[in-house]
Amino acid sequence: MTTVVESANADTTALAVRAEGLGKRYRTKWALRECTFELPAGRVAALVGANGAGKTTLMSVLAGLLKPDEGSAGTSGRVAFVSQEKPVYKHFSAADVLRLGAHLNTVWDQTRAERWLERFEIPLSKACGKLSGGQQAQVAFALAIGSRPTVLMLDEPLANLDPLARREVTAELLSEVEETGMTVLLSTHVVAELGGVADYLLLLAHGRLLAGGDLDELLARHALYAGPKSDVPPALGTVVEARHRGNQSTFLLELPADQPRPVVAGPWTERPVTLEDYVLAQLAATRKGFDA
Amino acid sequence: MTAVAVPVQRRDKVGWNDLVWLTWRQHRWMVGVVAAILGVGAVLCLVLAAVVDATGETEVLGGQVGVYGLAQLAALVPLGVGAVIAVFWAAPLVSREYEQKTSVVVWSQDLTPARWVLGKIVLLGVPAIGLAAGFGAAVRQLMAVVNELRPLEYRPFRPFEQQVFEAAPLVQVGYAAFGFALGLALSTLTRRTVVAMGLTLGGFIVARGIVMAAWRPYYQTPVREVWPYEINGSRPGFSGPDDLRMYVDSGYLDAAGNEVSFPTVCARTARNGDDFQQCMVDHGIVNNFSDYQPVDRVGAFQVTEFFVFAVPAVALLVFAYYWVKRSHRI
Repeated sequence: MTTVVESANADTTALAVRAEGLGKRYRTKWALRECTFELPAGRVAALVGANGAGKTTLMSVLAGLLKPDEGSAGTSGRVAFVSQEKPVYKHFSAADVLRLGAHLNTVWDQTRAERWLERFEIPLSKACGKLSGGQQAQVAFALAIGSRPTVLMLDEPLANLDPLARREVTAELLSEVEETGMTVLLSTHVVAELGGVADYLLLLAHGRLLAGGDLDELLARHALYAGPKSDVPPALGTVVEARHRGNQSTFLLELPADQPRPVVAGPWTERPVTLEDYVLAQLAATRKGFDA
Repeated sequence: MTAVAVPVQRRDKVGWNDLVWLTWRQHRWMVGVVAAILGVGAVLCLVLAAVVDATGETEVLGGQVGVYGLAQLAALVPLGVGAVIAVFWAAPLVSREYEQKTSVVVWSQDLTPARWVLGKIVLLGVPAIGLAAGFGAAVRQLMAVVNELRPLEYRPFRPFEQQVFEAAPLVQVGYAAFGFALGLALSTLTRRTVVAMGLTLGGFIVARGIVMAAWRPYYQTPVREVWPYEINGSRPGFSGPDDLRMYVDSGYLDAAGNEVSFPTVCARTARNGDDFQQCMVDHGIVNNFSDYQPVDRVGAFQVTEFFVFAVPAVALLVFAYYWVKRSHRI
């Protein structure tokens, strides 16, 4: 846990992660630029973005494994990071990995780590190299959970898990959050499975933070309208995405702030915006860069 | 798994005992195999030396195996110990962590990369030089005992001979330290295990070869012995009982003491010995010379050889340490 641990100032006590103007460059290409956000403690934040958007770079910087080229980052307390590959020593057994955790951490919760392995029925004495990819991921998670982090960062935690395991892992994570009060930051592009899990969103595109904030607030500021083919939306607001198919049009709007939610009638219907609607619309809008 | 709850363990820092656990758990096979081979080998050398010393026997195991041959065989091992440590212990050390992405695991616990690499250097480097020095000492003991079996002028193990010179514990420490440091530095730099192993082996062999052939003979200015040139003549004291020198150079001198290259025309044109002698004298050759390092310099040469390898070893270790310490790239 090499991240700078900031002194708990009065205005940062409730913050788990803070990034200010964060930038990271690989040679001349910026993988991350002007990234500023504050993640309150106790949240489950989803870091979402297309491939190559800079998710892994941002997490590595926040975990202290990469040095930013500009800006600064801070995390409160202990950070545990599980990278995309979920690496474990191949010739270590799961029990050895937990022993490693106990030896190399100043805080270690053996019970919690063992419980995680037990929950997912991971054999303790088998070499990790002989476990399936999904099982290896569980061993990596158990190691991270056992170190009792205040901030747990998971890069694509669901990537090599089957659908059932995905649901179980997210459920277990939520119960760990509830019990320990830790903050979770997880990156993913399996957006559909974040519903009901994440309550905070960080949306990255081309190395820049497109949106960040409380998920409910974010979604409440948007509306989705469907109706007859039209070039203009039925209400005031910024068009995030407009789709026209046949003689049907749908608009995803960002509603103007400080105004009552518009009511549409006639041929138009309003549907609540889901996380997936919002994320896909944002990603589509920025697919070709910010100028497209 | 039992349901007994283990209390959460809290402490101030990750200690050396934790690094010992990690190092042993990760490298126990590599360390164990090399330690077992060198340990058993050293004990066999010492037992054989003790038996030969007590009985004066030149053959063991019912007269089947010659002591001299066994000693020759054992003397070959120290030549390769440094290389084995360099290629198999040190070269994969950092690169394998990068390749299997476990560097992210180990460096995101409460352990900085700097402390991690320092732990590896101390906990693998010290055993490496200890094993090399220990085995060297055992082989040297066996050589000394076998030497005693023969009269002075027919001793098989002469101090400046490569196998004898290089088996000295201090020299072995230098080689092992250099090999370890070279392997670690290349491992850190290349981040590719196979590449690091290949470059380490090549670099180690080249460094040892160049030092042995081109530098070691000149650690000190050689002593020059001069005697009058005469056809069929030989150096006074040649193959005498204490001729344990390291010869560096030899040739011909004119009256003023300048080196003269061999006049090949004499060999081509001379019809007999007198002709040849006359031809040589006509070309100004008056004396023979021989440059050599006297045997009493062997200890000083071994100290020099140690520093020749130990100083770059320290530099390479410092490089590897700082390279890992500032390695903020995954």
